[in-house]
Amino acid sequence: MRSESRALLRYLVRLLLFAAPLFGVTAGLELGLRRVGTLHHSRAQRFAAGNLPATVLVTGNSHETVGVICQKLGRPCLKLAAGSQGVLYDHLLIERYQAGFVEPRLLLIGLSFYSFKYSLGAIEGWREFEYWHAYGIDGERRPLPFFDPRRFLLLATYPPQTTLDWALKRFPVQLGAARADARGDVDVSTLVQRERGQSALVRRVRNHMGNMRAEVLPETRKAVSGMIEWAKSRGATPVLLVSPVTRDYARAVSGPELDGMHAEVARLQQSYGVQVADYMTDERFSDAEFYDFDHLTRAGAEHFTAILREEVVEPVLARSR
Amino acid sequence: MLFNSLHFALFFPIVTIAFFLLSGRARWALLLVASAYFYMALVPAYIVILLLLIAIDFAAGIKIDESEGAKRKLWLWLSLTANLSILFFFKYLWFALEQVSWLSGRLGAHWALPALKLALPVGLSFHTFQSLAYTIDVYRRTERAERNFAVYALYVLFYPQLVAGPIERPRRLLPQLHELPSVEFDATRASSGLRLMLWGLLKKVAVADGLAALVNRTYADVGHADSAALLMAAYAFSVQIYCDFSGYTDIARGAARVMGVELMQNFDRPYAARSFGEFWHRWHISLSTWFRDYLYIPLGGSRAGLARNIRNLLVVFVVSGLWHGANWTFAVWGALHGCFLIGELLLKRALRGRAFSGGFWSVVRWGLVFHGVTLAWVFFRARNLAEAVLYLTRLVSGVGLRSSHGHNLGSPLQLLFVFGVAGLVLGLESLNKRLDLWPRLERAPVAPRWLAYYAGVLLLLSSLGSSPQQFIYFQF
Repeated sequence: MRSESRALLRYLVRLLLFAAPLFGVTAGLELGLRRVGTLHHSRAQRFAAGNLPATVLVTGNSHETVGVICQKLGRPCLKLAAGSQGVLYDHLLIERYQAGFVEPRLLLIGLSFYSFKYSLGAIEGWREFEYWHAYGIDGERRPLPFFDPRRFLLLATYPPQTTLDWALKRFPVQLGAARADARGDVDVSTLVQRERGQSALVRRVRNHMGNMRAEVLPETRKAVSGMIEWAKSRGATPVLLVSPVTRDYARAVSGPELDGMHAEVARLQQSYGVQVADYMTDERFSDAEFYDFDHLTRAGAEHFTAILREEVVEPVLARSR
Repeated sequence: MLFNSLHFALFFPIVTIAFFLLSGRARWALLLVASAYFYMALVPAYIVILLLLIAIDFAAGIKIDESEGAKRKLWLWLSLTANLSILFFFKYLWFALEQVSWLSGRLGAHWALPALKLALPVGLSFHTFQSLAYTIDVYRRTERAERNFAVYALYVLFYPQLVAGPIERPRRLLPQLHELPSVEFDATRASSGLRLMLWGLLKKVAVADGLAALVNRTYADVGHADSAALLMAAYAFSVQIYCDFSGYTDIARGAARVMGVELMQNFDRPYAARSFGEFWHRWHISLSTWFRDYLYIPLGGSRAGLARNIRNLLVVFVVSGLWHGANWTFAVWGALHGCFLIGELLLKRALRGRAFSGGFWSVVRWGLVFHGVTLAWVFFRARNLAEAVLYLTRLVSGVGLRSSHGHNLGSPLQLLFVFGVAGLVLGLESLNKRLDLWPRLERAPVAPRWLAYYAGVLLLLSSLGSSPQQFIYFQF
C-alpha cells in the first residue's frame, strides 16, 4: 500500500471516529421518530382498510376537525379534516381513498378565510412530509427527487424542536391513535380556554396570514373544483362550509383576504350552483363557545353540529333521497 | 448540484477519496467527469454548450499564442464573440426583446414578444468571465496558451468554482491544475479544507437560510409590510446575501483545498468597510478585480482626468450590475454603487487629503457605507423597480407602523435565534481575523477542538430545513 493511501486511510478512520457519536445520535433519533405514531398514521391505516361509512364526508382544517362532531350528525359520517390541512390535501386524500368511501351523499368542504391561498409549505413545510410518509401523497404535488433526504430520513422532515420535544417524551408511540376515533372525531374536552387578549389575536391572525401564498391560488381553485366535481360524479351533494369564529377574529381578518375568499366562493357558486353554508359570523355563537379565537369548545362544537344537522345535513339528504 | 444537498454530501467524499486513490493523469480525467456530472445535475443539456465553448477557447488560445498581428486579433474576437453571444442569447436577449416590445407599444406598434424564454445555464456569467480572462491574458501575452486540453477543460469546469466562482485567473489556477497528478494527501490541509466547508455551510444554512424566510415573507407583499418589517428585512438581506455568497465561496475553497488547489479569497469582511472603495476591495473580490483589469483600466481607469474617471466608474458599475442579471433593478444597483464611489472620489478631492479617521469618524464612515450598501441591496433583491421604489417609500414614510396587515416575521424567539446566530457567525469571523482563531483551533488539543466541531455540526443540523435552499448567486 502506498504511503499516501495509508495516510488517507488513517485520516478517514479519524473522521469516522469523529462522526461516530453523531451517527449514533442520528440513528437513535431516527429510530425514535419512526416509532412515533402520528394522527396521520392512524388515519391512513383506517382509510386504507376501506369500507368506510361516509354518507357525510367532512373535509377542512382544524376548524372542522374540532367544530364538526361526526358522532352527533346522526348519519354515517367520516371526517377527512385535520389540523393545518389545506384544500389541496383534502382533494388529494379524496382522490387517494375514494374507493373506500361507502355511499357518500354529502360532501362538506370546509373553508376558512385563508383556504384559497393556504400553502402547507409556507410555515409548516415539515407537515408536507407527514402526508408523504403516512399516505404516500407527494406534498403539494411536488415529487421528491432521489437525493432529497426526506426520502430516507424522518429527521430531515421534522423541525429540530419537534424532534427534541418528542425525544424528551421518549417518542410517544400512541401520539396519533389516541387523538381521533374511527370517524375522525377528536377529543377536545381537555382543551383549556386560551388567553384572548389583543396581542394574542394579532399573533393568531399573523400566523394564519403567514401561511398564505398567492401563487398557490390556481392549485387550490383546482382542488376545490375537483372536490365539487368528484362529489357530483358520485351522486353526492357538495356544500361549501365556513365554520364559525369569534367576533374579534372575524373583525381582524376582514379585509382584502376575506373578500378574496368570498369572491372565490361566489365564483364557485355561480359555476357549479353549489350550496354555501357560511357560519363565520353567525350570531348564534357566543364567544364563550370558543376555546381560542377560531376554534369551538366541545359545547360549541355540539351546538354547531346540531345547527349543521338541522340546516344542512338533513335538508340536503332529504332532497337527494 | 447544491453544496448543501444530500447529493453533494455523497458526491464530495466519493470524488475526493477516488482522487487520492488514483494517481497521475487519471486524476484529471476523474475531476473532469466529476465536474461534468456536478454541472449536469442541474440542467444536463447545457453541458454541450459549455464543452463547445471550452473547445473554441482552447483552440483560440493556441492560435492567438502562435499568430501575430491581425490574425491574433481575429482569433481573440472569435473567442470573445462565441462567449459573449452565448451569454447574450441566454441572459440578455429576452430582456432586450422586452425593451423593444415596450418601446414599440409606446410608439403604437404593439410588437408581441416571441415565446423563446430559455432557462439560464447555471453559472454562465461566472465561467464566461473566467474563459474571457484566459483568452484576453493570452492575447496580452501575460499568459502562455494552455496546450493540455484536459487541464484547460478543468480550468473552466473545475466543480468547486464552476457555478458561482470565485472567478479565477489562468495565472493562479492553471499551474495548480498542472500539479494535480502529483498532489499528495495532507491531513492538515484536508482538515483545514473541511473546516472551511463546515464554516461555509454554517453561514449558508444557519444564517442565510434562516434570514431568507424573514426576507422572502416581507418581499412577497411589500405593499402590506409595515416600516419596522421592511427595515428589519433590509438589514436581514444584507446579512443573508453575504452569508449566502461567502458561504458558497468558503465551501468551494474548502472543497478545492482538500485536493490541494487554493482558490482565491472572494470576501474579506466586507461590512467592516469604512469607504465604498474599501467595500469593493472586500466584496466579491474576484469579480471586482476582473472588472478592474479587463474593463476599468482599458477604459482609461483613473488616469485620464476626472470626467473620464467618473464615466469609467459609472460604466463599470452599471455593467457589473447587469452582469448579475438582465433587469433594470441590477443596473440601478450597479449605478448606485458607481454614484457612491464617484461621491467618495469628489469628496476626497474637496477635502484635499484631510482624513476623517479618528474613532468617532471611523464609526460614522462605517455606518454610512453599511447603510448605503443596504439601501442598494433593496434594488438588488426587488423583482422590479416599482417594487424597490414602493419598498423604500413605505420604509421612510412610516406607513403601516400600526398596520393591521402586520407580517408574520416569526416569533420573537425565532427572530432572536436567527439574528443571534447571524451575530455569532459574523462576530467569530471578525475575531478570526484579529485573533487567528482557526489556526489556534487547529493547534488546540483534541477534546476542545472536537467539541468546537461538534458544536458547529449540531448547529448546522439543527438549522437544516426540509429541503436545501438554492444559493442566491446560482441564478447568475
